[in-house]
Amino acid sequence: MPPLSGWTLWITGFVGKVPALDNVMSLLVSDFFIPVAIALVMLLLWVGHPNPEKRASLQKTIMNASVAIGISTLTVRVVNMHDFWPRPFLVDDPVISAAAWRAADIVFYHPHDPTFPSNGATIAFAAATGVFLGHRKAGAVMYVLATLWVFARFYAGIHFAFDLLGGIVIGVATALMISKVFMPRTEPIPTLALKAGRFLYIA
Amino acid sequence: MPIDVPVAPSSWSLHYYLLVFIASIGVYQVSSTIAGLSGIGFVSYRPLRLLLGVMIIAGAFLWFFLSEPNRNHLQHYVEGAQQLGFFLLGIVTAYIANCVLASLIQIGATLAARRPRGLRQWDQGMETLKHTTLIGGIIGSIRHRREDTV
Repeated sequence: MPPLSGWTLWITGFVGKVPALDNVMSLLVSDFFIPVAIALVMLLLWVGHPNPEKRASLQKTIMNASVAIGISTLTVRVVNMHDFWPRPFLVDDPVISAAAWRAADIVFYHPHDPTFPSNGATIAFAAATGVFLGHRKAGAVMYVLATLWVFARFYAGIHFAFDLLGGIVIGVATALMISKVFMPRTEPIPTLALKAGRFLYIA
Repeated sequence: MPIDVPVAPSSWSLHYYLLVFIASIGVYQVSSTIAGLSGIGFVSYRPLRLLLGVMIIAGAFLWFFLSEPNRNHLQHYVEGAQQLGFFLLGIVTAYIANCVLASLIQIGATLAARRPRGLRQWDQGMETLKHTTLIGGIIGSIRHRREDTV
C-alpha cells in the first residue's frame, strides 16, 4: 500500500452522498472535459495576441509546454514499465478496494492501467507549468483546471493521493527542465520551426 | 471484481474529433477578435465575433457532454496517443475550414489580396491575416512573387 492510502478511504466516503456533487465530479474527472479545455487555452495563446513579437514568444512557450507534455508522458511510461502499481480498487485491502470500486462505479469507470504516477496529473501540470513560465495569467487558469482534474480523480477513487503527488512532481519538474534548460539550447530549431509555421500561416 | 476490456468505438472517436473541431473554430473566432486577425473572422463587428466564438465553444461542449449521458464509461475510452492524434487533426482541419469559410464570407478582401510589400511570407505569417484572408494572402504571395520575377 502506498503512503497516504487512508486518504482514499476518507474521500471516497463522500461519493454517493450528494448526487449533484457526484455529477460535477463526473464532468470534471472526464477524460475529455479538462484535457480539451487545457489544450484549447494553449490554442488560444498560440493565435490570440495582437503583437507579433509577443505572439511569437507565446508560440515558443506553447512549444515548450507541448514538449514537456511529451517528455513527462514518456517518463510515466518508463516508470510503468518497471513496476505495476494497482489502482485503489484493486489493492489487497478489502475496505479500501471496496470503497474505491464503489466511488469509481458512481463517478467514473474502472481504468486498467497502472495507478502510479498519475498520467493525468503529469500531463496537466506539465502543461500548466510550461504555460505559466511564459504567461502568468493563462498559466494560473491552467493550474486551476489541472487541480480540479486531479482532485476529481482522487474523489473518484481511481488514484491514491501519492499517485497524484508523484504525477504533479514529474509534470512540474519536466516542464521546468524543458523550458529553462533544454529548449533554450535547441535554438535555432524552435525559431526555424516558427518560420516554417509562418510560411504556412499557422504561426 | 472483473475489469472490462477497453473498447473505443469509432463513433465515439468521431464525437471527440467533432468536439475538438467545433470548439477550435470557436477559439479561432475568439482569438481573431483579441489579436485583430480579421481575416479569419466570420463577422466584422468584433464584439459579435467574440460572442459567436464563445457560443460555438460552449455549444460544442454542451453537445458533447449532454448527447451522451454515460460519458464516463470504459466503452468511451480513447487512448492517450489516439486522443492527441484526433486533437491535432481537429485543430488543423478546423483551421483550414475556418480560413476557407472566412475567405468566402469576406470575398472582397480575398480578391483584393493585399499584403504589405517588402516582407516575405515567412516574416509575416499570421500577421497577414490582419489585412486579408488566408486565400487572399496566398493569392497575394503568388502575385508578389510574379511581380518580383518579372
